[in-house]
Amino acid sequence: MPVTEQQGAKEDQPALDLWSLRKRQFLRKPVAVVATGFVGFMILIAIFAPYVAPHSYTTMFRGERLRAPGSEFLLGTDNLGRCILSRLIYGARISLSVGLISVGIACSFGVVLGLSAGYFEGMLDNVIMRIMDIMLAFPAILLAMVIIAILGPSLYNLMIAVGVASIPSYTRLIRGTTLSAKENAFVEASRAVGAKTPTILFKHILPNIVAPIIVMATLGVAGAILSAAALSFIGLGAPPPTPEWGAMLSASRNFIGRAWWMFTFPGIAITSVVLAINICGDALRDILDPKLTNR
Amino acid sequence: MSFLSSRKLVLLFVIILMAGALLISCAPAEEEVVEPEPDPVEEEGPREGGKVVWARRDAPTTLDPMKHGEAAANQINALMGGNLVALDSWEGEYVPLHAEEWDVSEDGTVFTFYLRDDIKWHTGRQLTAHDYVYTYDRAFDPDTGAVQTLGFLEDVVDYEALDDFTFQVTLEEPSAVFLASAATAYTKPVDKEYIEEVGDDDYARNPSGVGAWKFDHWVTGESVTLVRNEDFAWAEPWFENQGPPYIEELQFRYFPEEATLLAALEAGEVDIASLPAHAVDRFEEHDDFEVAVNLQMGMGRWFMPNMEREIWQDERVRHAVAHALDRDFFIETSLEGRAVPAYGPMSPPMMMYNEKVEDLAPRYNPEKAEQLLDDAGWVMGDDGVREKDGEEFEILLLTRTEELQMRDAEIAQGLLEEIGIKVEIESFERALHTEKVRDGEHDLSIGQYWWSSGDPDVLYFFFHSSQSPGGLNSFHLKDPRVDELLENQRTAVDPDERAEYVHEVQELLVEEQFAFFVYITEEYSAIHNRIQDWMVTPAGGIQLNDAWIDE
Amino acid sequence: MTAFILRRLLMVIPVLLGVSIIVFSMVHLTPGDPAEIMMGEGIASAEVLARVRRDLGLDQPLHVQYIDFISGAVRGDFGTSYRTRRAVIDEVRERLPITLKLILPAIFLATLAGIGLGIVSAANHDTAIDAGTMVAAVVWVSMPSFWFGILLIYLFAVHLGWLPVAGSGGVRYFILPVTTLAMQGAALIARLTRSNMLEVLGQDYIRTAHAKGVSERTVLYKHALRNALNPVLTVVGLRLGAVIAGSVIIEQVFALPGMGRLLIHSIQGRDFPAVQGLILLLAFMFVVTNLIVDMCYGFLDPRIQYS
Repeated sequence: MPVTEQQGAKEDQPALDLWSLRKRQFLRKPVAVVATGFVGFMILIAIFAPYVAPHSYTTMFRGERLRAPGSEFLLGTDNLGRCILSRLIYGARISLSVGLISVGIACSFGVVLGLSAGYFEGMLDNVIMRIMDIMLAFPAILLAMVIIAILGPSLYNLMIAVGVASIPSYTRLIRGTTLSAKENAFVEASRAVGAKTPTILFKHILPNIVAPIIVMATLGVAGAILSAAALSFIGLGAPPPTPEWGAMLSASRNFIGRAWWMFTFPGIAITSVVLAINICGDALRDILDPKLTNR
Repeated sequence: MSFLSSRKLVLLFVIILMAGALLISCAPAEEEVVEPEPDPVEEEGPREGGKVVWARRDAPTTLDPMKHGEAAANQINALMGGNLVALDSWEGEYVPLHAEEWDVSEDGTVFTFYLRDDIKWHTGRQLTAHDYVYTYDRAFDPDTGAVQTLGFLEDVVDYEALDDFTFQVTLEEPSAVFLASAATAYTKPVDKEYIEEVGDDDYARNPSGVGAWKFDHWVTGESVTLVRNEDFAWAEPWFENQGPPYIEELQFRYFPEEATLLAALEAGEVDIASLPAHAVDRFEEHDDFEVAVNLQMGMGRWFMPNMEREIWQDERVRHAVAHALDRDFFIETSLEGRAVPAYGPMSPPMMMYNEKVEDLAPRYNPEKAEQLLDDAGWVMGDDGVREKDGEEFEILLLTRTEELQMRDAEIAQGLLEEIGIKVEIESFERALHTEKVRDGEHDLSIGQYWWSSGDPDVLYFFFHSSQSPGGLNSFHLKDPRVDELLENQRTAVDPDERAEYVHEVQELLVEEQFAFFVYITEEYSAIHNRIQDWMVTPAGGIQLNDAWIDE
Repeated sequence: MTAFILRRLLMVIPVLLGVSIIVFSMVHLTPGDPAEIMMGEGIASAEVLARVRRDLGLDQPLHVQYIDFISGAVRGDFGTSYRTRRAVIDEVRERLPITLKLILPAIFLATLAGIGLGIVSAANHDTAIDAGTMVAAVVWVSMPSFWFGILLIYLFAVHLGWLPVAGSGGVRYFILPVTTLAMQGAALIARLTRSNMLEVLGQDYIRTAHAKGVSERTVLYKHALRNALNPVLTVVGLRLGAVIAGSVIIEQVFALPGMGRLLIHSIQGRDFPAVQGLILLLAFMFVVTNLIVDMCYGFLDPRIQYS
C-alpha cells in the first residue's frame, strides 16, 4: 500500500513533504478521521467538564434514585441518585488522565532506558534488559495489583501502577528501534564529523524512532484505560466518589437486571473511547510505520 | 487497513452491539408470567432426600473451630455440632442442648453442666464430659493458637469432669455472659480420638462433630458439602423434628462476585442465599422464591469519631454532625428503604435494648446543625467549608474497601458537605484499615457489626477504655462513666440489675453522641420454594432441621 | 540447538531470582502485621503476637528471611499460608488445575479462532466479511472483559439457560469463562494473521505461484499461510502473560477457585508466603512457556539459527 500512495503523491505534487503526505494519507481514512474527531471531542469534554455537565457529579438527588433516562437526566441516575451523564463527563477527565499519565510514566522511563540500552549497548544494555526481563516475567496486571496493595488504592497509585507495569514493553521497543536507527548512514556521518553523544541521541536518533513510540503510546492509552477498569473491578481502583468509568461500570454490575442504563452507558463510554483510540492507533501505524507489527 | 473504509458496517455493528447490551441488561425486568404452580399443600408431610445448595460470598479457609474467626466457617461448624447450651433467640434465653440442665453456684462463679448420655460423635463414639475437658485443654494449649476461642473463655480459671456426664467450669468472677460462651460454635466440643488419629491439619480439612450434619467433602474455594447424620437425635428444642434432617445433602457454594451469585440464584443453581437490598424486589416478585426478613442483630451502621481528636471534644460539634446525618436518606439511598433508623448502639432485637434512646437521639435537622457549629465557633468560609482559628473543618473518613461502607461514606460526605464540613474518604483493605484505625490515623470511621447471640456485653468490646488501642474501640473512647457501667453489667448476676446498667450505658452513649447511629439493616434471604418448613431465627439464621424438599 | 536450549534455561535462573527478590521486598514493604492478621483483628494479646512472629520467623533479619524463603522455594516449599495455615504448595496444587483448565483452552481457542478469522478475512479481502470480522476484532479488544463476562452470564446462563452460571463442575462450566478469556487474544491474533497474510500474498513468490497456475486454495494455504504464521506465534507467546493476568479477573467473575482468586485473597489478607509463592510460580510458568514458544518458533522456521 505504501507503494501506491507514494506514486499518487508523485503524480499530484512532487514537492510534498513527508508530513503533508501523511496528512493526506490520514484524510483518506474516513473512519480514522471520525475516530480522531471523537477522541478530540472527548478531550474537549474532559477539559470543559464543569461547563458541559448538567449537574455536579457528587450531588445525590433525593427521591431520584435509579431514574431511567429522561428529559431531566439524559442518561438516567445511578443507585445513589446521581446524574450518570455528569459523572461520565467528569469521568472522561479521570479515565483519559489515567490513560495519558500512566502512558506518560511508561514512555518517559521507556525512552530513557531504551535509548541508553540501545545506544550504549554492552554492560548497561545487559543490566537494563535483564531488569526488564524480570519485570516482564510478572504479567502486567499482577505487578499493578501488588503495587497498589503496597501503596493503597487511590487514583494516583492507579496511574503509577498501570504506568510502571508497562515500562518494560516500551523499553524493549525503544531499544530495538534505537539499535536499528543507530546503523543509519546519517548517524554514522554525524559521529564522523564529531557530534557529541547527546546531540546524536536527541537530534538524530530520537526523531527517527518517534513514530513507533507514538503508535505504541496511542494504543497504550487505550490499554491503560482498560487496565484501570479491571483494577477497579477487583476493588483496587480509584476510591469513591471518583467517577472513573471502570469504577462506575463495576459499581453498576449489581443493578444489571434493574437499571440497564447504569450498566450500559459506562460500558459504551469505555468501549467507544478505547475503540476510537485503537482505530487512531491503527491508522497511525499504517501511516507512520507500515512495517511495525502488532505487539 | 482497508476495512476501515466500510463506514456503514462499522456503524451497523456498533449499533447491534449496543442493542444487544441493552437487550440483555433490560430483559430480566420483563420476565414471562409463569402460571402459578398448584398449591403445594398436599398433606403428605416431610419427605426424605434431596439436596439443598446454600450460597455465600465468603469461603472458609479452615474448619477447625479453634483456628479461625470466619463467619463462613462458623456457620458450618455450628451445623456440624452444637455446644452445652443453645440460644433461643425468639425468647432471648439459653436453653438445654448437650447439657440437659445446669446449676450456677450462689456466688455466680461455678457452672455445673449435666450432659445428656445419648449423644454420639460422627465416628460413633459417645460424647462425655471428658471431651469437654479435652476441648478446653486444647483451647488453652498455646500451640493451638485458639485466639477466638480463648476470647470466649477469658474468665475461666478451672474446669473438670466430675463424672462422665458432669462438666464443671469455675470462673474468676461472677459472669453474666458465660452462657454465651457455652453456646458459641467457637467453644463447641472437638473429638479427641479423631484429632489424635488424623492430626490437626487433616482435622481442619476433614472435621468431625456431633451435629445434625456430617462433613462430606470440600472443594477449596468453591464448595463444602455436608450430608445428614442418620444417628442424630439431639436437635435444638425449637425443632419439631428432633431426629436426623430430612434433607440428604447440604452444599455451601461460594461466589465472590455478587452479580454472579444472584445470577446463579436466578438460574436455579442455588436454593438459599442472603440478598442485598437492591435485589429484594427481584426475588420477592420471583415465583420460585420466598423471601425471609429479619432485623440485624448487633450494632447497626454507625460512624465512629476518633475521640482523641480536638474537634470532637466539643459536644456541640458531635451533636451537629448527628443532626446532619439524615437517617432516612441513608436508608433510602443506600439500602432502598430496606432498613430502620438506629438511635442507639444496639439493635432492637438484642437483649436489654433500651427504647428510650429513640427519644434522646438527635434527629435530622440541618438548621440546628449549622446553628450548633456557629455556636461552637466554626463559621462558614467563602468556599463553603467552615473555619475556626484559620483552620478548615476538614476530616478524614476511613473505610474498608467494601461496597456498602464506601457507599455510606459517600452519602455522609454529601450530607456533611451541606453543613460546611469537608470530608476526605480513604479506603483500605481490611488488614490495613484495622491498623490505621488502631493507630488513630482517622478523624471518623464507619462500621457495622453482627452479633448473633444478641447479648449486650458486646458493647464492652467497643466502648470500654481497655479495648483501645488494639481492640475494637476505634473511637479511642476513654470515659470513666462508660467504663464503670460496662464493668458492672459484666459482673451483675441478677438479670434485672444487669439490665439497669445496660440501659443506662445506652442512654449515656446517645446523650453524649460518642458515636453517630444511622440505621439497622433489614436482612433478607431468598429461599427456593421447593424447600418446605424452614424457619428463620430473629437473628436471621435459617434453620433446616424441620425442612424437606417437595418435588 | 542443545547449547542454545541450555543457555536459555540457565538464563531463567537469574530472572527468577530477580523476581523472587522483587516479590520478597514488595511483600515486606506492604503495611500490615502478619501476626495480627493471622490471629484475628485486635483480639490477640501482645505475648501471643510475639510468639506467632517468632514461630513465623518474622523476628529474623530480612536477609535471613529471604534466604529461608528462597532455599525452601527451590525444594518446592513455599512456607505456610497465614490465612489457612496450610502449606502454600498444597493450596496451589488444588487450584492450579482449575487455572490450567481455564488458561490452556483459552490460549488454544484464541489461537485457533484468531488464525481462522484472520484467514477468512484475508481470503475475502475488501468484502463485507472482511470488514465485519475486523470491526468485531477491534470492538472486542476495546471491551472490558468483566463487562463482557457478566453479559455472557445473563444471556446464556440466566436467560437462555443453556450453560451454568458459575463454578468448576465440568466442561460445560468452562465454556463461558474460556470464551471470555480468549476473546481479546482471538481478536489480536485475527488482526495480525490477516495483515501478515495480505503482506505475504503481495509478495513475488506468491505472484509466481499464481502465474504457474497453482490453484487459489493451494496458494492461500500452502504458501501464504505458512509464512504468515511465524510472527503470529510470537504474539501467542506474548499473549500468555495477558491470558494469565486476565484469568485473575475471569476467575473472580465466574467464581472459579483458581490461582488468581487465591492471589487476590492472599494480597487482601496480607498473606505473605502465599503471595510470594504464587507470584513466583506464575512468573515461572510464564517464563517457561515463553521459552517453549521460542523453541517452537525455531522448529517452525528453519531459517532461524540458534547461535
